[in-house]
Order: sequence, then C-alpha cells, then structure tokens
Amino acid sequence: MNSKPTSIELETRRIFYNDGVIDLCVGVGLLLSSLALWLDLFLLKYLAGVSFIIIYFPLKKNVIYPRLGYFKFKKSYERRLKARFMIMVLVLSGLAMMVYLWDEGRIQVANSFLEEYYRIIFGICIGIAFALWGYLEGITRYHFYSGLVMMAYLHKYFFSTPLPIYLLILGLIITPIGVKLLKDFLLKYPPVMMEEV
Amino acid sequence: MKAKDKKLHDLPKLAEIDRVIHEPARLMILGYLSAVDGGEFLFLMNQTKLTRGNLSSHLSKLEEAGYVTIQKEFVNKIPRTLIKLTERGRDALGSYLAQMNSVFKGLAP
Repeated sequence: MNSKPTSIELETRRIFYNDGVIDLCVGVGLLLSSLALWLDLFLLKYLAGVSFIIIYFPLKKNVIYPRLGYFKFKKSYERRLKARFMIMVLVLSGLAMMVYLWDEGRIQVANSFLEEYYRIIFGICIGIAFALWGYLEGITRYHFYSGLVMMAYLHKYFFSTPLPIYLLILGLIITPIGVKLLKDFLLKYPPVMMEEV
Repeated sequence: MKAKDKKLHDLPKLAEIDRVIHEPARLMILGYLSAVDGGEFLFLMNQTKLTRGNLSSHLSKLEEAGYVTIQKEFVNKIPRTLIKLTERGRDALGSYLAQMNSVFKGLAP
C-alpha cells in the first residue's frame, strides 16, 4: 500500500489541527505554569500539569465533533501518531527528571557550560519537538512556537530574566492564537441539529 | 496483436466506466472516505457541502453497490451515523482512477 498521504488525507489532518484546541491547551498550560512558579502554589502546579487533559478531551468531545462531525484517521496514521506522542512524552519526562536531578545536585558533569546552563537542553528539546511535529504535519505555526520556546530558554540564561515571565509571555502569545483559531472554527462550523438520517 | 493495430488511446474505455462512482457527488464522498478510516454523516456533509437529503440519497446508492457500510449508533442519546469505505469500494475507486488516468493520457484540449 502506498504510504505517501494523499492531499485529502493531508487536508483532513489540517482540519484536525486547525481547530486551535492544542494551541489553547498549550497556552493555558503555560499561563498556569507561570502562575504556579510565581505564586509557588501546589494546586496550580498540578493544574498546569493536567491542563491538557482537562481542556483537550472535553473541548473535542463537546464542541469540535458535534460541529465538524466525528471521523477516524487511517489506522496506520493513528498508530504512527500514538507512537510519536509516546516517544515525545517519554523523552520530555526523561528530560524533566534529569533537570530535577540536576537541580538536586545528583547529576554532575565536567563541562562547565552544561553545569551552568543545563536547562537549555530541556528548552531546546521542547523546541525541536514542536518543530518536528510541525514539519511532519505541515503546520507552520508550530515552527513559530518552536522558535519562541528556544528563544525563551536561551534568553532566560543569557539575560537572567525569571522563567515565570517567559512562560507568561509564551502563554500570552500562544493562548490568543488558540482562541482565534477556535473562534474561526466555530464560525466556519455552526452547530447542527442531527436527526435520524 | 500487431504493433500497428494497437490503439494509442483508451477512449472506448470510457463506456466501461463505473457509473456509480462517476457521479461527482459520489466520487467526492468516496474520495473523503478513502482518506479516513470512517466518518460521521455530519463530517461528510461538512466536507462535501451536500445537503442532508442529497448526501443521504447518494450514500444509499453507494451502500446498494456495496461500496460503503452505514452504521447507526447512539452516543450519549444522540444518533451518530458512521460511514466506512468497504474493501470493494476501495478497489472500485482504485480501478476507476486507473481507468480515468489511462483515458486522460490520450486527451488534449
């Protein structure tokens, strides 16, 4: 079977990504993370961590699918998507754990640059993940997010500005993009009352 | 067959074309269904821009031909009609595209 996606398959994927839900989840997650770091509130840290699950699934189920109509991706693509997502979660969790251990002083390296700026690796990996996802799915705004994340991490270390401020700025950029995409989606797909067909 | 008798175009093949698929609305429906593993009635309505009645009637014809399956189910008390392309439908669409490609090769405006 030909594995190269057809233009209709690519269009279907774009419809899936262009409802703004992922952007909104990431943006809100960043805003909550910023507030959590600023105020040092455990509940907010927890909420920031699970914001994706709290927002993503209810929005898709109650707002997106009743307007767009439910559809399933091809099994081969769905398998690839799940595998890609799992790899990303594993790599980022591993890196988060590494940063935590580094913070605790349990990891030490001889390289003085890495010793001082080890968190940059984390930021670069998140940036690469965004860029790769954007490249594979043909979503150009993910490249923009990738650049933003990398800039935020690099800037934090070389200009000594607190991380919560950068997370806040990122959240304030990404959340409105998500809201705008969602608004466009809602205007394009008005609610439909489905009756027996 | 001698080489000189061999036709350089396949225009007569147009007469053998599958007329169930050849209708633009049905071709559009099959095109969208070939890109997914299954889609709701509403999804097809949004993508093809066909009216509810029109889409319903074309789907019935495709179902009669065995090209699609239509499953009706209830999700949270809301009816959901899930349409899938069958293997037969996929093969028929593949043959149709191959036939049309060979026909188009011989044409020029």
